[in-house]
Amino acid sequence: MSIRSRLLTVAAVLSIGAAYGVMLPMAAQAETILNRGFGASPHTLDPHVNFGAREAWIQDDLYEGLVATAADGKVIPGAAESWDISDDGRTITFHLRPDLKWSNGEPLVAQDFINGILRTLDAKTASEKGYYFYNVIQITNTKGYAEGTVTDPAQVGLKAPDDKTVVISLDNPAPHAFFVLNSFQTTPLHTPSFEKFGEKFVEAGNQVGNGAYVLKENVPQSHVLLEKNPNYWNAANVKIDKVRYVVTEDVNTELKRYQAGEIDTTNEIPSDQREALKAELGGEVRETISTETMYISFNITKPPFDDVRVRRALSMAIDREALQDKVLKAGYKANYSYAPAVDPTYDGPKIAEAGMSKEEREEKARALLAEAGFGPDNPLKVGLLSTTDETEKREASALAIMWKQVLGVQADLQNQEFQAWLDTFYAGNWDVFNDNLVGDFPGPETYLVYMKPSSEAGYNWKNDEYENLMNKAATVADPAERLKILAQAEKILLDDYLTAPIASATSRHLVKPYVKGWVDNVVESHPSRFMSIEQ
Amino acid sequence: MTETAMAADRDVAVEKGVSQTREAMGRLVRNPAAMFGIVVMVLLFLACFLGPIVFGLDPEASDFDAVSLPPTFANGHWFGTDDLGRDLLTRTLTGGRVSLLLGVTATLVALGIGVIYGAIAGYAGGRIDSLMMRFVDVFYAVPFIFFVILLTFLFGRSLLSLLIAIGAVYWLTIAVIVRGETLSLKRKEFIEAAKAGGMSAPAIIFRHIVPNTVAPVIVYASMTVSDVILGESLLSFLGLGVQEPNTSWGVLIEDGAATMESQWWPLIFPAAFLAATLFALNYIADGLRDAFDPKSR
Amino acid sequence: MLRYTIRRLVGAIPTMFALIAITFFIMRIAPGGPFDGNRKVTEVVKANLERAYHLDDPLWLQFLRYLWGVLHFDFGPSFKYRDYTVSELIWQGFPVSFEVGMWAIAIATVVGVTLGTVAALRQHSMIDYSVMAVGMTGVAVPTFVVGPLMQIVFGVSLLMLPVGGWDGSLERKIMPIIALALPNIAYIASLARGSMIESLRTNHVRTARAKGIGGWRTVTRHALIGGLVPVVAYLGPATAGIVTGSIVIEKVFSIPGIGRYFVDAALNRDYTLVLGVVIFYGFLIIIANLIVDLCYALLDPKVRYD
Repeated sequence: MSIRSRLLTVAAVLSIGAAYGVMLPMAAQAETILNRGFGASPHTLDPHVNFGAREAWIQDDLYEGLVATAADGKVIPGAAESWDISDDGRTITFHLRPDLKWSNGEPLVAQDFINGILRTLDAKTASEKGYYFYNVIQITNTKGYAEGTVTDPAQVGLKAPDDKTVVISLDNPAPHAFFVLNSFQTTPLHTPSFEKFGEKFVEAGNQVGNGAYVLKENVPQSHVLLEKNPNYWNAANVKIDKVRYVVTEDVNTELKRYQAGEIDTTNEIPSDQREALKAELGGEVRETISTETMYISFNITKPPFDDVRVRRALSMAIDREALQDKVLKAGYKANYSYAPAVDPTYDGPKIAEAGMSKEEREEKARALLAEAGFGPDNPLKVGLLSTTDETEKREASALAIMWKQVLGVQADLQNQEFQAWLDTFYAGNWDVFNDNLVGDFPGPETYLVYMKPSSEAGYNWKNDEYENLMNKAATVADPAERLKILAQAEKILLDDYLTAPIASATSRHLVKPYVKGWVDNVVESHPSRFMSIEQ
Repeated sequence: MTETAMAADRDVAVEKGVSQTREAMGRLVRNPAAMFGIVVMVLLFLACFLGPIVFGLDPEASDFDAVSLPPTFANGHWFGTDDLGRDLLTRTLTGGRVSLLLGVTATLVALGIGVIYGAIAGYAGGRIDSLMMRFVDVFYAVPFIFFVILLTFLFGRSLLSLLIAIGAVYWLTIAVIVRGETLSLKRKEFIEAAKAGGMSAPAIIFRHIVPNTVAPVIVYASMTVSDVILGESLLSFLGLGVQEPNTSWGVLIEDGAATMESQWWPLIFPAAFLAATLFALNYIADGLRDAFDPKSR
Repeated sequence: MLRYTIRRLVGAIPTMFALIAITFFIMRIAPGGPFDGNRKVTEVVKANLERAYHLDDPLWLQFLRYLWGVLHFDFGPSFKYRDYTVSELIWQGFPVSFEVGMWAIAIATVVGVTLGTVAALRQHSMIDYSVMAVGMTGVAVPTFVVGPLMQIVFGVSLLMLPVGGWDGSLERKIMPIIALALPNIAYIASLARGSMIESLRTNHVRTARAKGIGGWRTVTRHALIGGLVPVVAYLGPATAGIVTGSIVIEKVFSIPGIGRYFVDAALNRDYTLVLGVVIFYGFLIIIANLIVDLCYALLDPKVRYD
């Protein structure tokens, strides 16, 4: 062969080799994987037992309920493609999609959803979230079934007239019901695997679900790995092949792993670095109001905190904006009402402090306290109890300083680990404590219901007017009407100063720019099936 | 180990009237590292206990407009301010009161109990040794947090509970080390001689065993002071140690470490004070060990 | 020696029993319980939860039931990590803690004894002071500062090592092992130095040196053996403690070991998990102290166990 043809041959071989070499890795890279920082290790992946909000993300990837939540938090059809509500709001009929399958190919039927709810209520399951079905909404006879007074499941307000229909009967209408009928509450039960494996049916290899992903690996304290479920009805639109939830207990380590590219989204952002990160990473920092509200509670059975003037004075002495903006700097929003602003259609009342200037507030506070008999020669002693949570401790310190500067209060700060704290709370050995509440759905009712004297949350507050208003609201089907009555109830609660609102917490995450489909929303819905990775 | 008995006899024969302690003190004074350590400790104690009083500093004075400021000479915050706008120099000094007192006291208590326990167990041998060391095994494994909760339950949130909680952890390893040395030591000729001479067991333990086993552990114990001071922050976390607005070096360092990527000053200054204490005590302990050893040059 | 070992192992049984009993009862004295965390649960449901886990039985009955399980190597389910039994959690986590811990203690021992010996041979010289100062930084700088610093330098800035996580690869082990070794290097060096100094002054060492036996042989053969007793004593409980994991290292480096269970399980009132790790740790301590005692006899032929 001539030199020219030899050179051409070599060139040809090299080009083919190069092209192949480029294509091979591209073919291998076709599988996308999303690494999500998860925080502390998940407590359980059993869908009928799991009570954690973060574990709910995994649950939402592995299973689908009657209703689903979109990437922006709105309620959308899930396993049920449509539903009808009766005129009195007490009966909801769900129509399931045709051809629903479990991840192992078996058909998925209406009774499976009912079995899931029944398992949650069953005392043998030892699940803490049965209360969704009789406290948050009231499905007929669920409370009795959970407590053992009703033993026949046929008596419970859940019926499957045919394989494609689920009928739920409520004692009271509940406009917010659709927020609590998603994968977190209504995961169906795959009876064959549960009968075969018992509680181990949630293990990788045994797990059968109806969500966009199946469980591939679960290593405690390390990670949870999910793989795409080809039998999911919408599998064609699921862009990410594998999702790895990475356990990141230390918030600083999580940030470093994000910066090093080991994870694509984080569970939290360290408060002390927020400002620097916002400047450096811009749009990667995602903050939004969450359903957690923070406030302080007074022990109204213990003098002098039974005197509403003392409570009001303490509330007025707090500079809520300075507390958040200058001290805590966690991005939380100062709050002047009990229910946080999670529902834009709710026009709720605020405490009087909201409209006052700093000087006004402090003057009024001193006056009120003096009226109640306290002042520089008789300083008020306040015991402030918090858990060991860092933000709570700093907040308590800041409150003590404000009370001292404005009112001359001598505060005794006590922090206890959570279990001891709960014990002290129920025993009533406290004056004021740092409190918080996470709502079950984005509406004021979930917070106000918790304060009902009959729900016995431990506050020892008696107010028949409030109780009656809340009971009345529970029976109203029209959402706008319902909210008006709730606002009236909240006013009673605020005027009594059983609690003094402090702030609404925010959820904070870092999200890499190449991760698409992560939308900030108040219910923290971030299903992997709506996300994609853009290289 | 050292044959103190023979050496003591020799010294008495050569120089009459000079007690062993006087000699030891003399040796200590001539040890530059140990003297440096003593000077540092004295300065630290003076600074922490008297400094704030003399200069009228208030560790609780807070200014929300001066939150998390880095150190400057201008505004008087030489160590900067913390996340509640309080001066860190003041808080480091007042925090040192708890840490120095607790650190030294708890370590001395742990040292005392550990040495005596270990010496008795090692010397007694047999059943008594077995029983005592099995007790140590159990004590190692009992969960610390529940032990602390139990203490709080029994003695309330007092200094006593705090001291017991801390001391309870550190005496164990000291006892194990001392017992080990005692096992070797008790077979040596001078001990056999003392026994033959009719010396009682407690006398042997306190006159011969203890002084000879203290040497390595005294330096080890000085190093655990740093652990003790840091360990106090776990107790604060559980509600037993110092509570806000009081502070200690352990708490300051723990808090400082959590934010060290955005602020270096809340961590560096208390950590430097702790390191200084550690080095100073270490040199002092080493000097003491040398001073009481008759064979050192 | 063999009879002694068997006697010790038999003696371990009452020790373990005492440990289980003490732990069981002080746990129950503490306020709170595994199902108290949720304030939204009604009393009836909470009672159901406790009944499902036999927490409503009288205490002595619960204790006996637990002991019966232990005899069958059944340590119960974890109350907090509902999908796992205690045995599974320990079985999965311990190998990780063990690997990191053994490497750390091995490195710490070698480095620590070397530093201590060098310092002892050159006592009061600059070498002595600098070697000991270097060693002491391991104690002066706490682990929860060293760890993140290493992560910043090697993980984020230089991108040489992964910041955290565990997949069995070497690069994920380096930083945690070093961070864990550092404080122990200081303690071991200090103990080694202290007793080496003593040992170098004993009559038989001085005699050997006077006879002209070369420096290193004297040191290793005569002085080191005797000087190692405190180091070995320290290593017993230290090893047991390290191989059961350090909660700080495991949290900072995201390592799935069992170290965190010693604190978290207690705070969560996860009774079975606490008992499980306590039993495990107690057993390791007993074995470690037994090995240490056997080593004394090896190191010092005069040591006798009667």
